[in-house]
Amino acid sequence: MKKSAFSHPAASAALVTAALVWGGSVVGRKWALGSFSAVETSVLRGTGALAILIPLWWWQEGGAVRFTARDVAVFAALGVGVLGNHLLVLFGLRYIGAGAAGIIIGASPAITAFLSSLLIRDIPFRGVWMGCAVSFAGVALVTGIGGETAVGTKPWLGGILVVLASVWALYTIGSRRVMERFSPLTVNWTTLVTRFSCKSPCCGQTKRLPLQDSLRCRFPAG
Amino acid sequence: MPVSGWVALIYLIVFATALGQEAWLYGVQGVGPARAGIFINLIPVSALLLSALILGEQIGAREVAAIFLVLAGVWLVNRQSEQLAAQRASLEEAAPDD
Repeated sequence: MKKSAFSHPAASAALVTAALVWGGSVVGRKWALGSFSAVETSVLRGTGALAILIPLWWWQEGGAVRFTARDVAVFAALGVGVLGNHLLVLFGLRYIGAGAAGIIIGASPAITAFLSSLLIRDIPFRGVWMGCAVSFAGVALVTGIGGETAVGTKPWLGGILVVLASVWALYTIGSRRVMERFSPLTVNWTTLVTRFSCKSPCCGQTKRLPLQDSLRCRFPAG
Repeated sequence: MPVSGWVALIYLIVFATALGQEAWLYGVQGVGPARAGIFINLIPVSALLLSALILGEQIGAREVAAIFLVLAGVWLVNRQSEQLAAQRASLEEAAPDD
């Protein structure tokens, strides 16, 4: 596997930054939904971000990048993976308590670590299991385990949410593999195109979700 | 249209979508998916803290304990994987060349 030129401290700082701004997006969405509908917010957000990312990409590397039909299919699959994550959360929340959903989705890092060690062997699982376990305990606590929303009406649908977490894990693993040939900027805007072109017709559902549910389910891509 | 709505929208466009995704991908490229995955658990922590700071929502003892556990988990994953990386590097250095 091609080694990244990005140092570990810088990569960790980038991941913390992503988590911070995605956490802030929960507050941002609540505010934005006071002025815009869910559909308007989603469409403006997607087109606005693409209006920044595509010119930036073109300026930095547009002339040098060539896509094959297979590359386009891979980028589309990655975008659908993120979109699937969002939609399955919305679907699952109609049948299962938000607390239980949050706990199940809290398994996402473990699923990512397991699949990653299995598929691309980037790290042995013994390197992450303890941290995952402690972190899951925190997620379980913050999502209200044992509370009134812990079980839900159709717990079997928790299985769907586990699949959902796997979809996000596969996006993370797949994007790492793709970034052996393409820059993060290229992966970013190409997957965003798929996500937002498919998402707008479906995003009317998000208006029905209270802030607590959005927070508990932690949509990874903000 | 209130200014706060536009500010929130600009935040969602610039930070949550463009910058956040870019930072995530850089991080995944740098440390790999397994290690990066655990950082997802920081999202509810930052959401809780920002909700308290910006929206004035209350944070109780349970939330503080949860924040501590999540941060401890992230720290443990980083520590363990750095140790493993160092062990792997020393083994590669010690191995004879073919």
